[in-house]
Amino acid sequence: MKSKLLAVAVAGALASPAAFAQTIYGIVDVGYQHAKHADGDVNKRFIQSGQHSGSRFGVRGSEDLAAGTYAMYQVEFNILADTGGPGATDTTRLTMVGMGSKAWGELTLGRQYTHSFHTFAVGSASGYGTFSSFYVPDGPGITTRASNSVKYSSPVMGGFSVGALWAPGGTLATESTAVGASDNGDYTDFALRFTPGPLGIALSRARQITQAAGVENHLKLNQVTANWDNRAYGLYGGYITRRNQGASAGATPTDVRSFWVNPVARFGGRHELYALWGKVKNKLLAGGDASVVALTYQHVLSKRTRIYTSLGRVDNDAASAVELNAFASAVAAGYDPRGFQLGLLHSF
Amino acid sequence: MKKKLLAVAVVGALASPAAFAQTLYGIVDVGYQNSKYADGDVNKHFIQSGQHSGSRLGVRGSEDLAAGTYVMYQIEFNIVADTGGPGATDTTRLTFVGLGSKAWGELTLGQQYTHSFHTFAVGSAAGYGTFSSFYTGGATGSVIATRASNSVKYSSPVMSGFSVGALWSPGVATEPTAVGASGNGNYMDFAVRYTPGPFGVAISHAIATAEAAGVDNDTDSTQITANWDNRAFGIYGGFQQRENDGAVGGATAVDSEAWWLSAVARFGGRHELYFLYGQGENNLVTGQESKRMAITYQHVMSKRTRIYTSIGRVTNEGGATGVLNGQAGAAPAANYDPRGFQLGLLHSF
Repeated sequence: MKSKLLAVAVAGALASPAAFAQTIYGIVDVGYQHAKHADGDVNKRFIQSGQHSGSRFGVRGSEDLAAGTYAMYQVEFNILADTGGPGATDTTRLTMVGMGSKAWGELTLGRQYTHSFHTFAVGSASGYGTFSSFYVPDGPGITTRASNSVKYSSPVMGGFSVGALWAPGGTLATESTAVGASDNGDYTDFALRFTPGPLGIALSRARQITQAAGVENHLKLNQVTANWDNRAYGLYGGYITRRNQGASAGATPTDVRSFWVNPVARFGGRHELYALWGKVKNKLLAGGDASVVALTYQHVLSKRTRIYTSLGRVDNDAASAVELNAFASAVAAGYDPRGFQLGLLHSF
Repeated sequence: MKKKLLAVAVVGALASPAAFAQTLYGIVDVGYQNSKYADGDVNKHFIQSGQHSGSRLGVRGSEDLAAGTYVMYQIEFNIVADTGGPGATDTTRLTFVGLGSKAWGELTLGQQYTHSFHTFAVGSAAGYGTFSSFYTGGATGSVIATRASNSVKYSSPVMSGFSVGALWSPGVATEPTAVGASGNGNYMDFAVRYTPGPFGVAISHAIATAEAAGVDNDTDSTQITANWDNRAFGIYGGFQQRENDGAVGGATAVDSEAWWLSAVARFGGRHELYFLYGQGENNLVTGQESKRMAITYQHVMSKRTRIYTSIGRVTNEGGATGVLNGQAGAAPAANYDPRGFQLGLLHSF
């Protein structure tokens, strides 16, 4: 799937022979979206980047060190494939350096995916992309990445794996320095996964702190996800609660529950059909419920290239403003958005 | 340390055979820092990029031309490895093109390191990174212009230990266009280095001009650095003086002096220990002084990978607000004594 630019084995002056590998990789995903996000004379035609998978361009590599350990790095640029993204071609997608071993797992530092993010995948046949994924911001509300983070990921042992992440200022651009805000922006999470196949189950717990004038407010996200998948048919789903301690420390009060089911059928070696049904319940609002329905077909042209197309709709109650995943526009409360998408993805 | 992505020899249509080489390279350096920069309920935990060496991703290459000359270029992206750096991924680290020859040296144009920057390295065992380097800012630190934009730079080859260099830049940010500010932002420096090994000595002199309404103000920085290093032990140090004509020409008044000693011991092939003691005085305020002390241990895991850890402290007097090199957090209050601990992982490729 990825091309090695170079793989050189060097027997150096140091105790162990050091092997070194470096890869340039990426994804370019651009497509059309017809988004009914409001009534009246509004544009409904959008060309979007990353409806299936975020467009990216990266370099990663590793070096073997003594005693089965290795050092690794990854730098991944954000590619806005629809506009070229003036000024947005930064490496906020992934930038990290780490050490690891097959026996002990990996310790990585930098800007990277959270364990809550990885845990979502256990319950999502569609991953994080297309209308058929329930990875919507107003629903599960998972923190995708954490800045300023230290992350441990265990190896998979008998189907089990665990992970933990700590980030002082993980949700901020930089760590807090204000008096009375020593923990502001802190993000921690951990996950436990059992994925022996063809079934898997995982849970994660994340805590995000807002602090002002010495008052702390913890936002907690608990997630349970599961799947059964025999490669021809699969059934995925999950349940998430997201809740904080109200409006203290300048935070927005949050108490949201959501669950979803996401089946998949694969046939003829080249055809994949995904469906999604999910529900969001905002406990703090009267009429704060929403349900999401979507259907996606993906035509697999090769391991690296696919065409995807989806139909989706959301039924919002009067106070709810939930959108489809990767929807082109925000919607007003109570509006029921609909969408169609058709795109081409190539990874290299 | 770096790999060639491509090395192609082409016998072209031009008179001479042209060899062409291109390299993709970089550094990712992320670590933890415990920074004590204020008392009370403030955050002291930081995950930082580039505490040892700035994280970067670059491409460079050269092409052989006629008569032993070559053309070269380098483009180096700034990588903010702790956050991904919204908006900060530009090529302000290095972007230049140049011509050179082994006999005559190199002439380069663009955004590049100053000769004052290179001269500092002759007096710094710890280079520009970790708490154990004196590469700090402020009125009581060593203030060196690291890079100059819009610059033309000449660097001689090393001839029996001697090398010289000069840089001229008409506007280190952007060239001035206002009336009465023709020299504003001009920067120039030159350096003479004698580094035959195991000892070295170097001097540099830089002039940064501010000008407003026809009034010029030159800030002169003079630096002397030296080292003796037999690869097992080394002692490095330097002295720096900065002064301008006061608060005229749109500049703030500058008059400061700094000196430092930086020692290193290397043992067992994998272990490096660095020490720093340095102090800087601001002559514009009586008794304003910062003293910096730090110890760094570096574990060399391979040529490309190392772990580093340091402790350091600064003693501020007379209203000084000096910090350690690469210290995280807010600027300390006057006379506050910052401390820090750092532990990081660096991988270069």
